[in-house]
Amino acid sequence: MTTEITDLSLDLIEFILSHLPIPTLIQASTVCKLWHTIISSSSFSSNHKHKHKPWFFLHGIHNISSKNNQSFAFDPSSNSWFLLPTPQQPLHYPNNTSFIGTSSFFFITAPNFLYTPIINPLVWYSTPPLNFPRINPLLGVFNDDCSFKFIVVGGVRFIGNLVDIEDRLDVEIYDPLLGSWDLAPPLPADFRSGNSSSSLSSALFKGKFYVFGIYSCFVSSFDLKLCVWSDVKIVRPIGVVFSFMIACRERLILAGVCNSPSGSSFNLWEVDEKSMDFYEIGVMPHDLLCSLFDGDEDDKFASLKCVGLGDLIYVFNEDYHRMYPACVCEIRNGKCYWRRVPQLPSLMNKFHKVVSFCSNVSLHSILGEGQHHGLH
Amino acid sequence: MAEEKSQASSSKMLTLKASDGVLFEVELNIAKEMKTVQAYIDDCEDIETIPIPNVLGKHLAIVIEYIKKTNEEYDAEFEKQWNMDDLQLLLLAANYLNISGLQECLCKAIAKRIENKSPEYVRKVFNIENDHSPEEEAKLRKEYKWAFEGVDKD
Repeated sequence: MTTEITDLSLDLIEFILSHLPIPTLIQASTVCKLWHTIISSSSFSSNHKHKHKPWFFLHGIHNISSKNNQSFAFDPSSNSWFLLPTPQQPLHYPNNTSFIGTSSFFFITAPNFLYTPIINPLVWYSTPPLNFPRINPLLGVFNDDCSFKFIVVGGVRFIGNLVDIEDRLDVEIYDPLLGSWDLAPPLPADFRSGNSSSSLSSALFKGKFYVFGIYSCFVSSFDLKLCVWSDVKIVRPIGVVFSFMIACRERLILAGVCNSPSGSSFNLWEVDEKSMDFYEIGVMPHDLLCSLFDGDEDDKFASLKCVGLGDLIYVFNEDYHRMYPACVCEIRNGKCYWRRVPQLPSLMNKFHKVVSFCSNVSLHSILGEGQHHGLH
Repeated sequence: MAEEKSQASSSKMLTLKASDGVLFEVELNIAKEMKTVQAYIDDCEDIETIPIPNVLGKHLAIVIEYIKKTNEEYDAEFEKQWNMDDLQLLLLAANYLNISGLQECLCKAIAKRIENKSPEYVRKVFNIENDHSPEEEAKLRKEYKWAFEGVDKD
């Protein structure tokens, strides 16, 4: 079929490969050793055309039997769901311990602090326990010079099996080079920590960790270098019922349900990170919103969640019985393009709880040599 | 891409000679989209016939037509007409002639055609020998089993 004349140069092959979605590239890495080296290199991951299209993860937890836990991931570039290996339950941990997913890792935050990569969850790594072990905190993973660090904000104090809602817990930052948790001032008092992850949304943007009250519309940002919180401001477009703050590629976005005389809608606003001024950039098509949430009850949007990164924002109905219908908005050249996410496969087990989040997926982390995943 | 494709200001014609001797008369501003040709013109201003030794007449014709017509709609339909061999030869031509828009279009097209295909198919397409041992290959497939089994909705 082919002769030497059609043999493409390595540069051209690499350029072709950079257009493929990650699952195809994982398959392509088995073509030959050279391709494996190219595809798993960090420069290939940096040039990958889909690197700003984060995946959407749904990790289902069965309260009684951890064997029924499942990890689903949606790749927007191949428009397909994948059933990922589920992390093994760490020894001595009851199944419904505080379990969080965020950029690249699953975490267990109490009584000890453990993490495992979301794509290859083979081993749980541990850090020393938090100074104040807690459940349901806000958690972020950020790069600082050469390594990455964890920041833990808010949450509910975990003491043995009791839960203490009164404390405002210090912010804690894990530095892998020191191997310890540093303390920093807690979330401003205007926020009521309580069930942090249910009433607060967080976003890492331009060196700051933003915390936003989903119902209160309060916002404050923690400067990761100076370790101080900004003044608390309010970002509340007219008619907003509740909203989420999301760090997209170059923009801070507010996404939420809005009531107007003509009905409810789901809107997106771009927020200026300095002034906190905002202006609308898009509205979800009405029929798409109806396909995710039907019914006429006042609280039909109670199960609406929204996560996002890079160029994408995912909006979904955290409703097991509807099989978590979702849609995704791609922001391209300042415009919003909405589409439905395909249905989850019905081989879904029964779950009591779902951990849902968005994360970039890096081939280099999955395939790269020395998959050390630990921070050292 | 070529925004002013046939403006009166660039009515000078140039001849391009393909590897099999076929001649093409093109307007200067079309030829300039091929950066390799542009460099040739920069070096020798009076040249009238430029040799294109690596590209067959049939492919050069396609490339020239692409430059004249390219826009979003044209690009979307363009790649459908060609088989995998032609796509690769066109890519080599576009790469030699240094036309970035066409290179991108062709790379995307080739990527689309190998997207859900098996590694065996991909090896045939690019004429690559498998130097993984059966054990190595089995190990990779097992470790990333999920990537080989996209989950289809019912």
